[in-house]
Amino acid sequence: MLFNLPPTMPFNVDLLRQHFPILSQTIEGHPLVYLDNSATTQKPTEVLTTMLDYYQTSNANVHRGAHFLSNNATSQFEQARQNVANFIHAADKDYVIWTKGATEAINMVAYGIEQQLKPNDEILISNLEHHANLVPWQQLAARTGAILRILPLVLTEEGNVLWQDSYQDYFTAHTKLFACTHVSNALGVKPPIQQLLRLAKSVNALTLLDGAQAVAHYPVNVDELDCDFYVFSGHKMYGPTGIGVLYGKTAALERLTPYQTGGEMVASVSYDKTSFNQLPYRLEAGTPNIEGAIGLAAACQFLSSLPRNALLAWEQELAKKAYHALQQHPKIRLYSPVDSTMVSFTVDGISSTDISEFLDSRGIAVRAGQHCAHPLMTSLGVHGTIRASFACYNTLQEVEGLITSVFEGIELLADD
Amino acid sequence: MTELTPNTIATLFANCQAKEERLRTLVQLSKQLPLITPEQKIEANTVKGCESQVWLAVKYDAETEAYFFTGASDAKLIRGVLTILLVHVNGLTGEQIHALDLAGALQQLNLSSYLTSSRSNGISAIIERIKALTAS
Repeated sequence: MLFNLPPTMPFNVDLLRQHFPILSQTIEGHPLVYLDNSATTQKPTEVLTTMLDYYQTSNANVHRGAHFLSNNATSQFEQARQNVANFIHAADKDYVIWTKGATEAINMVAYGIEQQLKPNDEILISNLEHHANLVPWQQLAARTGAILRILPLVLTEEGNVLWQDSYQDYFTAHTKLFACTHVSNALGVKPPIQQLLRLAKSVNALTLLDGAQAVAHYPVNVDELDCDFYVFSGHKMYGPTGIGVLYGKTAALERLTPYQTGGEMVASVSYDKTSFNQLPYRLEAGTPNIEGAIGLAAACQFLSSLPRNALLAWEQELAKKAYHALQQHPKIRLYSPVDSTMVSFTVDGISSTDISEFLDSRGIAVRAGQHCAHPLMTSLGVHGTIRASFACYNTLQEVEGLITSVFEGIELLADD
Repeated sequence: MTELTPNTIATLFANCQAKEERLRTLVQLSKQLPLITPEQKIEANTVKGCESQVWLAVKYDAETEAYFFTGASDAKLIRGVLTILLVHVNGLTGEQIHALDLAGALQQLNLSSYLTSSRSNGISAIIERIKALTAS
């Protein structure tokens, strides 16, 4: 590792970019400007070489023991669990369950608690959720007769959540689970999570936080958050795709009925019955994504070796610069808060996909559309937004290029 | 402006080097889209599967057996692509339309980025819709 800097130390973005070879390419003659980091981040060489090394030196199935390679693979795999636990400040490595990603982690909980729900129980989610933290609960409600309720967080003009006393009315004796995003994927809004968790706990509801958009930017401490479940994906935090985490304390994880059964998750099997293995293995059926887990741990190590507060400050500076520049244009409406790590905006009279196509023609990658949050977009009265989301390797020049191209795109695409 | 035919459109795009120039050409073409009437902008005329909003309506002339499409979209670049597609199909019979390789025509113009499947802007859905609305 090249880094190992104190958390607030300024860092050199040019040096950092050398760890991301993909960023040095050109698209039709334009340098790639990758601003779709909320969809997925690029991967540093540390993650890539760790995964390659695993296959070249240690590949074997885990937890089957009996030979040298398998023991080696198993110890790397379990060390990865420990490293990821450390990264989110989980008190025990067994609080970390490997999943395909945040979506699977949420589905695991939604299926896992199904037998504990009865008609008229309530599942409460916020109005800022990604479909991944909405549809599994909606389907769970449909299967059990429970009611899905939406907490209508009120956003200020500046894109922050305005606290309302009426929020507490949504937490009742019927509320069995409260699920909320830690950072909204479409808008970059951070709900007042501590206050909301306190309300959820006051009615003994299970709590789940969707940290998919938080882990790459904000230091996450699940122990301090004190939520029952915390989920995230590896690929949005410089790790590989196909790996993610369901964090839960033993008491919460024990409430989950395994939604997949089969190899690795059993203690003993007869034709009459099966007894399940202990946690965390009980919830990890089948051969796990070993290289993914090891790659994710490498991503955690990579991030931890960097001055994280400085990275966040840098990403916020990029977003703020973009925000203030975009704000100057009379046709642009911003939906993200000024202190987030993204800008989410629309242009009056111009489709978001037109703008993103134009940006693409200049090598600038952004996301246009509804960001898997249809109900949220509907409530904002827009068909979709343009989202430029920043990562630690983005530069001020890239922000300037974005702004110039957005303005020129508006010139071209506006109706005469 | 010269009358648009598949050939004049091919010439326009043959002069484009970079993607940005193709987009500028699409913007020009978008102005020549035969527009559907506001009354036809209804749910039944929407094309599903597009990230952008797209409407298509069709008129059939029983005498000549020819189809005439009109369209609309909130996205200007999609209106440009729609113009190209409608230049290819309008005035043809169902049999002729079904014999066309519309996706291939867009590929020849170097617009194949509009055809990528899933999460795309759904030009493939528009082509399917054109074929579904015309009897072979």
